[in-house]
Amino acid sequence: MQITSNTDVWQRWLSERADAFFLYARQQTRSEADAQDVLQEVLFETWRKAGGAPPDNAVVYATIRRRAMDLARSSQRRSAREEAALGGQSEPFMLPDFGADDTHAHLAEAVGKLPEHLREAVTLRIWGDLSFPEIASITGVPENTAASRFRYALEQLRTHLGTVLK
Amino acid sequence: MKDSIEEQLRQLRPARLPKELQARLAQPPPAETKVVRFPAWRLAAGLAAAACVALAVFLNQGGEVKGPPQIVMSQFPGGELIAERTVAVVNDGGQRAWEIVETERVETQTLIADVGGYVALTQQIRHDRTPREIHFD
Repeated sequence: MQITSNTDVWQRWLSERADAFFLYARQQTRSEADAQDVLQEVLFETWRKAGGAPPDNAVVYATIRRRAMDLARSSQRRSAREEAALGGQSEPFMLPDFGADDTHAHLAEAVGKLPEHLREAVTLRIWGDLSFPEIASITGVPENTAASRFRYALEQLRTHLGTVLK
Repeated sequence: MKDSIEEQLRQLRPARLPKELQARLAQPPPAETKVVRFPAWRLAAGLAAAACVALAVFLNQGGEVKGPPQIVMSQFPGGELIAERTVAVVNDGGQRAWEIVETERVETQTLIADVGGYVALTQQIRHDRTPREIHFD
């Protein structure tokens, strides 16, 4: 029988999920530093509440969203100059794929330019592996709305790619 | 059938965690446990009270057992909470998340025969699992 330590389970969970959690945290916060703080706090909190085991995926995304909203409310007094400085230091949201053609780079850029509510639907569905009922629950909209946001986002991406790759 | 755009999106991989965040997440947090210690003085007081009752009844009744035992004293009705821990977190499909909390209670009772004066102190450990809503504030 193989004995797996708690740290091994934690590390395996992070290696499978943390990049997607971080992507969502970056989209929900105003700066890299905020995203890192929110993600660390949420991962620790949800892990503890699950009794020291990997928590439900949807619970983690829902908690990231709430924590990011709380942080945004508490930091509204931050000056515009500070915000601009923080925003300008952002790293790329997607890994560069040097083996792929330009389509991937254009697609990654197009995802970044989607309206926030459409980008959120794409992120939770594609990289979060969540169902539409789960996405609806997290974003607080009806299930049909969550599904139509996702479809509409794909339409916009298709149109964008058709334009830039002409 | 999956959309070709959807297929291409799935081939994109989110950027890796920054090194400093990886370092901050190197170890899991210690698991949350809430242990309420059962105070030894309460058990001792219960035992002493039970012994007094037993002695008094024994001296008055002469040691004959004639009827079913009656509960004459119950320590901490409903049970004394001795441990509590979160065993799972679930989402109910709405906006709410729930944690399943397991509690452990000890119920102490003093039993005494209505005639005859025999006394017994019983203890039962009871496990319960109940949902509790998580508030994110």
